[in-house]
Amino acid sequence: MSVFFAKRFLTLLATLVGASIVIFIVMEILPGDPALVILGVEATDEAVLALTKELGLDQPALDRYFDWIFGMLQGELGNSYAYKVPVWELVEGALWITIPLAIMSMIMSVTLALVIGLYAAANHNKAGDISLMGISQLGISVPNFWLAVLLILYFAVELRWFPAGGFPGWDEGFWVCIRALILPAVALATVQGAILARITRSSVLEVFREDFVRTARAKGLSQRSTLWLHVLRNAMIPVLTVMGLQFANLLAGTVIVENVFHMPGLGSTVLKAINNRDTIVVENVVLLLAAMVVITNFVVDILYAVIDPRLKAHDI
Amino acid sequence: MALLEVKELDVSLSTAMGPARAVRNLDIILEKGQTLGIVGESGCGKSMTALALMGLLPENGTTSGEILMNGEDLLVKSEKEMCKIRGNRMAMIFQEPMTSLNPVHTVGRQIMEPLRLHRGLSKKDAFTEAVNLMERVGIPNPSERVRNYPHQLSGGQRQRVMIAIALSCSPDILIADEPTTALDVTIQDQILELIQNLVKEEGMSLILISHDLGVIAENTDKVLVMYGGTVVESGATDQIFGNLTHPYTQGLFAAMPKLGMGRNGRLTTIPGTVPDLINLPTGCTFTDRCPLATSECRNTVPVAFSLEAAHKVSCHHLDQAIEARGEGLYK
Repeated sequence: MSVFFAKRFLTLLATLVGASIVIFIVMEILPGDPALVILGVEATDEAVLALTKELGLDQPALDRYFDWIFGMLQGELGNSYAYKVPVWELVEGALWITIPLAIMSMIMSVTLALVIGLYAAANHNKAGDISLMGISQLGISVPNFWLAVLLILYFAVELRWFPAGGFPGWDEGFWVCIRALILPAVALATVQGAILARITRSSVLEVFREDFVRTARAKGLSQRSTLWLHVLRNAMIPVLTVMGLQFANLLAGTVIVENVFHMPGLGSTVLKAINNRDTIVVENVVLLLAAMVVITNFVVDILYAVIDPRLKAHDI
Repeated sequence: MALLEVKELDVSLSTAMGPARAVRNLDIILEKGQTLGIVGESGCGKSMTALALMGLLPENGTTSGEILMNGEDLLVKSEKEMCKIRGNRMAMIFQEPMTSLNPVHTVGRQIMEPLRLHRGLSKKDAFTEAVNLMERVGIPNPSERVRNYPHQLSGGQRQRVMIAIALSCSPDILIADEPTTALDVTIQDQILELIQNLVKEEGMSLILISHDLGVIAENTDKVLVMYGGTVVESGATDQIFGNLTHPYTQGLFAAMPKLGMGRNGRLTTIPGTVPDLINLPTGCTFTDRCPLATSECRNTVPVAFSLEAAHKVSCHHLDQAIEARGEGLYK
């Protein structure tokens, strides 16, 4: 187990280093001078030069890269070019929206997927299965920003069950915030959940054809007990893989959905920062998002080994 | 009353091409402690018969006839009642030990399952019993092995675990479907011997399914020879092997490699292939491959004819078949 764990952890670190290099290079290549954006097109060359020096942007790229990385290791993310405040201050508030949103939609999508997928598999080729798979096909085809607008129109404007947008802040109370997050979470979870439901269904059906399922039935286990005790755990391996991959999509989705709901989450923060050429904020936020994805997949890898003892044996 | 009495069992599988009649008009009588062999080539309905007895046919399978166990018809029992019989009064060992165990559970847990389900043992008692069972089926160091996962055991050991599972609730009937086909020749004998010993100790009845005539001859009291979903010859093992009668049985026997036939001796084969179960011939299923076949065979289903006590053969040309025993029907 420890070898397995260590290998996975090294992969995680290597991925993060790679990601940081890619992010930094992309921001270097991106046209637009932060100093020029801050000062406006009317600014004199001297002023732009002075600001560039003040921001430290006149240093060689390699130096700035290592400054960024070592700063980060010491918990120092630097200051925003545009707002002159520490990056962490800008990001912290946004994290408190985006992370709960991502977790909420992940929980929704997984619950939805397992319930639908298992039900459909247990009623293979019956009316329930066919109609649920039809609905999930629809769920996959709907773009999340459009679904978000529909949800606002119906549940916020028409029924007035949920706020149409904005985020009250966690000081205003837990449930108020959860209410504000429900519609965006549903918009995000629908597509992901629909895909995952189909994967759950086909995975369960596939495992049902395995020889050990016949053994379980020959022991006297009912179809239902066999599903819970023997099929589910084996069927979870592909489902888990897709869940890990979907987490990246989910974070990408938050950028769009947060904009539809006017939520000052990480998505809006990073969009604003790109417009301002606030490269240091962009770099940090994107690396943070990358870290979230990589860590999720690390956890998925560990869960593989928990589910399937054969993986530990081979130390993949 | 016989322990198991199967009357006119028909198994049909619905396929896109039409119904495939996997088993037709099958009768079995199995007494307590008796060992029945079912022999035939692939696709002759052996495994479907076993699955039908267990009530575990695939979803597209339908059955008719009667399967009486101690006089109770299993075919009319509810799924819930069948769950109480499977693994408890009737247990089964499968062909593929490599894939028949759940890879994500320890073998101990898999042996404990029927113990807890049918015998209502506590977790602790079931664990102790699982270790005992593993010892009984000859797995060395059972108290450690009990915590192993299937991938940590060899094929022979996995089949022993399967036997331990089947044995766990001392069933009345044990069905072994090609239990040694997937194993090394050296392991095959050990496993068969183990099954034989356990069957004797427990007083169980055994249904041994195999395509291997040697295995059947050594391990059974009576035999059904199946071809194309139906029984062509049945009787006591000594009768069948002493007096090979049906042209198919003669062919099966002739096709076995024999000691002393030399390197250059060619194996005898039965010409043709197994019949298509969807478009079965109207008469005898063996017509197309039989050297004795006439138009009568093609059109009329032969009835079982009793040669001597309990030795029955379904063939229109019995006399010719018996005459041909000496020099053989197949050249």
